[in-house]
Amino acid sequence: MKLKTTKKIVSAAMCGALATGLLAGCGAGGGSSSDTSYTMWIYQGADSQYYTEYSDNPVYQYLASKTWGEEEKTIDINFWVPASGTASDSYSTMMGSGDYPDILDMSISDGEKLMYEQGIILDLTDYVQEYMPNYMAYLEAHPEVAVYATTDIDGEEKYLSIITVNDDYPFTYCGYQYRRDWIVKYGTNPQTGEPFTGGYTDENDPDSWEDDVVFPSGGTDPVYISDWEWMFEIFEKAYDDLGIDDSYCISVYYPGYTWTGDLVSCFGGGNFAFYEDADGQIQYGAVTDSARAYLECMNTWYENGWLDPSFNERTSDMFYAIDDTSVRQGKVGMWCGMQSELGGRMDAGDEYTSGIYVAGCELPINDIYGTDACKNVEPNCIMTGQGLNGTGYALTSAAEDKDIPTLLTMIDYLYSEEGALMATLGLNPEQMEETGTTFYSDNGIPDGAYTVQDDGTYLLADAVRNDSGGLWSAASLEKFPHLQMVANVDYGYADTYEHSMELWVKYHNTAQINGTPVTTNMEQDVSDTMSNAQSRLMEYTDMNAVDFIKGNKDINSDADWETWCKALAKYDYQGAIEEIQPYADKYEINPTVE
Amino acid sequence: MAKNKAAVLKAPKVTWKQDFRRNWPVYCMFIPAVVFMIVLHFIPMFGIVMAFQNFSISKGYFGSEFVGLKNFVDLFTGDQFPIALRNTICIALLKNTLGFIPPIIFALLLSMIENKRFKRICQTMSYLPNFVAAVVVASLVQEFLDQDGPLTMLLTNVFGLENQNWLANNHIPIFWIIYILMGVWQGIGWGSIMYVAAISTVSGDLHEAAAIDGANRWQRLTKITLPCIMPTIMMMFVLGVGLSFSTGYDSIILLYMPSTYNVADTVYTYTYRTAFGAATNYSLSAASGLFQSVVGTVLLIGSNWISRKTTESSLF
Repeated sequence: MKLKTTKKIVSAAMCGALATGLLAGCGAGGGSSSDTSYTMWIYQGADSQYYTEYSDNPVYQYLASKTWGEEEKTIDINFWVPASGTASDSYSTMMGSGDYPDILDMSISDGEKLMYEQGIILDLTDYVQEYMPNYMAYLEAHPEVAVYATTDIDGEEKYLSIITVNDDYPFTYCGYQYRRDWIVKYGTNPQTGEPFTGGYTDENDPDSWEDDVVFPSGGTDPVYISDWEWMFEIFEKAYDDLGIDDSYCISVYYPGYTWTGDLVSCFGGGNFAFYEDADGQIQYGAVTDSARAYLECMNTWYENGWLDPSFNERTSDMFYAIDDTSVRQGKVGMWCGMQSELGGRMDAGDEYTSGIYVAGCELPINDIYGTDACKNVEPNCIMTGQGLNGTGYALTSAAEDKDIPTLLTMIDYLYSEEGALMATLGLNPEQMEETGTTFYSDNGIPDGAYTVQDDGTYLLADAVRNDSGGLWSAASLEKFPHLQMVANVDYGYADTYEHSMELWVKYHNTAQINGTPVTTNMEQDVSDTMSNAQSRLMEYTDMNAVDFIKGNKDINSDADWETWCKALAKYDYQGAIEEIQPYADKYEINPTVE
Repeated sequence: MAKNKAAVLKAPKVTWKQDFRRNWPVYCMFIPAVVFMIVLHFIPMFGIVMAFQNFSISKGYFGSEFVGLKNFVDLFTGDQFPIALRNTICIALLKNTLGFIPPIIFALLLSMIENKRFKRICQTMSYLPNFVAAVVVASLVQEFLDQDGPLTMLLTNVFGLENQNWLANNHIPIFWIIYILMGVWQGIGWGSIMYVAAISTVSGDLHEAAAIDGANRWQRLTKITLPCIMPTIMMMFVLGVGLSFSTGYDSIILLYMPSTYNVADTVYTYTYRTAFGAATNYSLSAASGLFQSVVGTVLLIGSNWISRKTTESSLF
């Protein structure tokens, strides 16, 4: 009898435990015990090989060891970092459940204006003006940046977030690049017909390349689409000579275009979404002559065997790392890639990469396809080279009862010269000692990520410069609002390397409106109208552009083009354009471009 | 007489309180299931309201504008949903015909194996693919059907078919067939468990008597085994029909691409993509999801009714 009762109690306890387990995940998330304990959601943490908890960041640990504000309080931040690839889901869950962090990374947010109107984020105007003198001083000195820092609420400019700013606008991490060693080896001077000469002057230096290459446009770098096609013909010779029969000259993002419109806008301007034309008028790009010229070019490249025949199947590849395997095997002539692939860095000593030299190039200007209006126009929808790092960090309603002045005082320090340097490049040896961190010595940079040179510039440590992973990011406080003080950083780049990156940022975005003041200041209804129209338009173009490129539909057939345009018109882009136009009239897309 | 028998068999009336006092551990064991159902199935049903709103995450359920049936009108007048619906119906038809029969045949074949050790090995081997994660199965299919994949090479070299990545082929019914065959490969063993169990309950006496009467194996199979397991087959069919609208739950999402949406997109993948893809519209997704659930429920109830009428066996 006793045993039976015990069994009953045990089974009941187990059921209770099960039920408790089921409900364990419900309820509020992290909570702070004091008014200077905060929670912060960031969309991405550091590379997990360095640390998995962002609170282990050495710069954060330094900040946490100090006292801040008039009352000299310490701060404590509990970072919420979603697993890789789940940032959007994590954000949606937070918003849906109302379980907000105190500090919110706005990288993938719904827009500050909307969130403020819904009471999710706080108006920081008074706090910023009173407790952030360094931040305010920077914005006053840079009015072109200040427009990104405020949002128009009923005619009043309010600070709804603190933005990370970059003091060296034209920067990027990726761009088009090509096998220049193949141009030297297999090409001939288009003017004289003489073979090119060139090679490395120092076998141990991946940037010590010199050659006498001249492009059909007359310069030493490719400028026009015709220059690109001239290169493709040379790449074909390389493939024949090397016996590569499973490659192509260039690939494109799987829908057949990039959503930001980088290559599309080379054909007269614009993208496959809403953009502002040279006359200040909002247009929907996918139905323009420029889009048709772009598709005609892609179709020609496909028919000629220059375009990756499987481009539409590479749906899991990032636009800057399409078919990375073939690229790194040295089988592709041209691709959109990252800085770490420039020069001779991809030389694996094997059949196809031995002696490789990769050079960057600017976006091309169309001089072949479409109408005259589509030719000789500089590209204007650019993702890379946009210049300003405008990532914002807002305080949510969850932080209403917290000590906001102390928090903002600490953040403001990261906009001072000393604080910005620390956040950008990591701790110096004195700061390391003060914090007691072993992060730098554990990762091969015992003296820190940089040294100060005689001319006052900061030279990156070799280990950081040569690291293609996330060492710099892990050693600094990248995922926190701060001034990125990179203008005085000496990356130690060779001239050839720097030249490539200068070409990547040659053109600036002046037309693509997403993420610019035009969209960030939109009223909620307009924003909804635009995003609803855009989502349906994008779905259609993502599915059907490939048919024109692969020749299933004839891009030169007016009937096929009419069908495409009519199908898109059903989604009422005209209605969206009319609603967006007033914002384009009022705000500049890229105030950092003179 | 029958009346008396019924009276004898009638259980003494027990109140709910008495029953609870006697069986409270059983009721306690029921709690997790109830909590699970309420928390993860019933409470989220409130989200259905999104289907009738112009839903915005920031505004929430109570702040979003009520738009009536507008999302359903958008759903059915849009380009993509009707295609997804067509694909779902076609794939479901194939799944409930071509995909439904192999596990039955496999179970019948297993029942014919007399060497028990060999039978067990066959069964175990056939279950294994079911435990391979969908993402791995999808990767295998992608590898095998890629332009230079072994199956593609076989189709090209032996049958003279065009060399291509078959998963990128957007012509009907290539993708549907690939999907069904993939399901058969993965689920034939697991799907046969119910039938193997049902076959094992068929009385050996029937087979013995039939054998004595001169029935051969084929006759015993068609005249004894199949009729005996027909209720199970119908029950599984009912379940299959009811779940038709959840087609594409995982593997299609892993296998399709924008250029094959016209043949691979199903109601489920459309719902998922509209909610979590690059172009999100929660309201449209909720409308699609609600439509999927309602049709699924109607199908389940309808097929259950048909099953009850035709075979006198049903799920409920």
